[in-house]
Amino acid sequence: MTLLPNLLSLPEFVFRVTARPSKGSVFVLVSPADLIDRVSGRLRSELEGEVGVQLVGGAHDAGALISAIQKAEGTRIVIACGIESFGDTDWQRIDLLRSRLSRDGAIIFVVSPASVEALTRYAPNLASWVGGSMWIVDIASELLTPEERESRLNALREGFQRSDTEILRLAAEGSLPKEPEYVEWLILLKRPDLIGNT
Amino acid sequence: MARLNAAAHPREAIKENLYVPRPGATVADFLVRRLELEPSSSHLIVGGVGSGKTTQLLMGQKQLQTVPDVHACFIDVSERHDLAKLRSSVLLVLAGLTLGEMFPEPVSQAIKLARENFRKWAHGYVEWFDVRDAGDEEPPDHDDDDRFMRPVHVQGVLVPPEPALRADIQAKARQLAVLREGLEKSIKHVVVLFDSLDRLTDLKSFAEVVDQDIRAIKSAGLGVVVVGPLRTLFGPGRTIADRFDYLYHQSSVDVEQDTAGEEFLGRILRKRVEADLLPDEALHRVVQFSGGVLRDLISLARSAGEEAYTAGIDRVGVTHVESAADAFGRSLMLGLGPDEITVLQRVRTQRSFVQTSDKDIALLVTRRVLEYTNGIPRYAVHPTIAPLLEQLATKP
Repeated sequence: MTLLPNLLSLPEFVFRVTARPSKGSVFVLVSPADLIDRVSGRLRSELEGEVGVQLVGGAHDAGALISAIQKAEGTRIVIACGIESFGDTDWQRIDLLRSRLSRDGAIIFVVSPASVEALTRYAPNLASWVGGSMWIVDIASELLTPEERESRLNALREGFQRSDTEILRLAAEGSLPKEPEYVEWLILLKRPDLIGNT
Repeated sequence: MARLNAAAHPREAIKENLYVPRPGATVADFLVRRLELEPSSSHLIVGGVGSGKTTQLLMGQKQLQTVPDVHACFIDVSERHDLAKLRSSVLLVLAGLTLGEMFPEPVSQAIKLARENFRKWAHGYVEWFDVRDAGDEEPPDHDDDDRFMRPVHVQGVLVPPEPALRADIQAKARQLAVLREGLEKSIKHVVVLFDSLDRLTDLKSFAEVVDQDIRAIKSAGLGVVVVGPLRTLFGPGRTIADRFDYLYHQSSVDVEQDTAGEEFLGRILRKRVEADLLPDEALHRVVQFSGGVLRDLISLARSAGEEAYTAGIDRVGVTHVESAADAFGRSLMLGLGPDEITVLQRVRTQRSFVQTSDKDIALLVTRRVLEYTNGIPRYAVHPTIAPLLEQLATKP
């Protein structure tokens, strides 16, 4: 059984971000690695109507990310993404320099399941700022067209040589392997209620 | 709800009069009492993430300002230096720069020079050497029999228990003493309070600054307080903690077996949220789920408020608190391996916890395991992960 953050649709996430007085808030949104750019882009366009927002993408290391966030002073919300290449030492460095992330606005980290694990393990001080403000984005409800959803499901079926029925049965039994792809599979099948069983 | 900001600097909470003292004597109280008696003593504060160490440091500073002839300087090291590059001299130079800013103009030549030296040491400088001198060996001496002799140093067997301060550290300490003596007419005692060193995972660099900088600052006649890593309480780290005159462990507040602890956390929340919004029953649940970790208390209360708001309800109920606790617990469980889960299950079911590895200590630092030190020390898993661990135990 794997314990993961709860699932949240993008509009619900936007609602929560805009509802909170933003000073110093840090959020984490978990997305499949290959959809991070799209999730971040959608997030920016949805937030732009509400507040000032800046996307900080593709920083090559922790130092570059921190200075990019610091340069965005005055922007209410910073979306940090494209940091999938960050290793343990980058997260440790972010943790050491956490005070420099303190700002009047909010920060949203859009990261993959692997990166969120690294964040909690190697940046415990930053994670304590996040607290429970961490969700998995529900890609099936908003982000993907029906065709894209079907295409991703097909890729999973072929990649793992398993059917949807088998996945649902294993999840219900609580014996689905813990790889993030299986979680995505359940999300795409619109059965996030079974995620807690994986 | 705007007052429930888990990432806010404790300075802001104190400024807004949101600080509530712990029952009994606080770490800040002990600091002040001891520094009044021993102005140039050294103090180490340790504790888990979010346990309120910085708050105690700031309250210590605030209380020290009311003591005649004492000035306390708060220095957040991470704001002025890249902690990943911490090495000896850094704290000493930060102390020198801070003291240098305390003089009203005009200043004497000696103070000017000391201030200039600290600026040079902080930001670097260029020095010119005669290249012809480089690499020149001392010509050999010859004795009475005309034999050529070279000196060979044979090391003594006795090693001093406390290694000598390095020459460059001694030079900086002398300049710090010049600044302190210059201030003596207006401020008899100066105490420097260093924050953020608790984030260091590399105990080697912390040991280096303790071994050199802390001793040098003390030798210059200043008091020094450091917020350091919790790891210094265990194993080889303990020898570093022992270098300080006093050690304080800011543990979690016992909300399970100590009514005063529970009331204390309740008062913290009540100062920030009215009962209309967070009724007593919900407040009580937030306190219980926090496990007595101050930052988690604030974070959980805010999340519970958001749960209520999202549901379109203007009053936080117990179910909102439970949803917030579930989300919080899930975040805390991320990144744990099977061996760590096994340890957590043992703590949950048997309340036994022995720190035998770095991973065990990390469970304490990241407050998955909480230590309560009122009376007989006891351990518990963070209350938000207890139900999740229970689920894990009953499923394959």
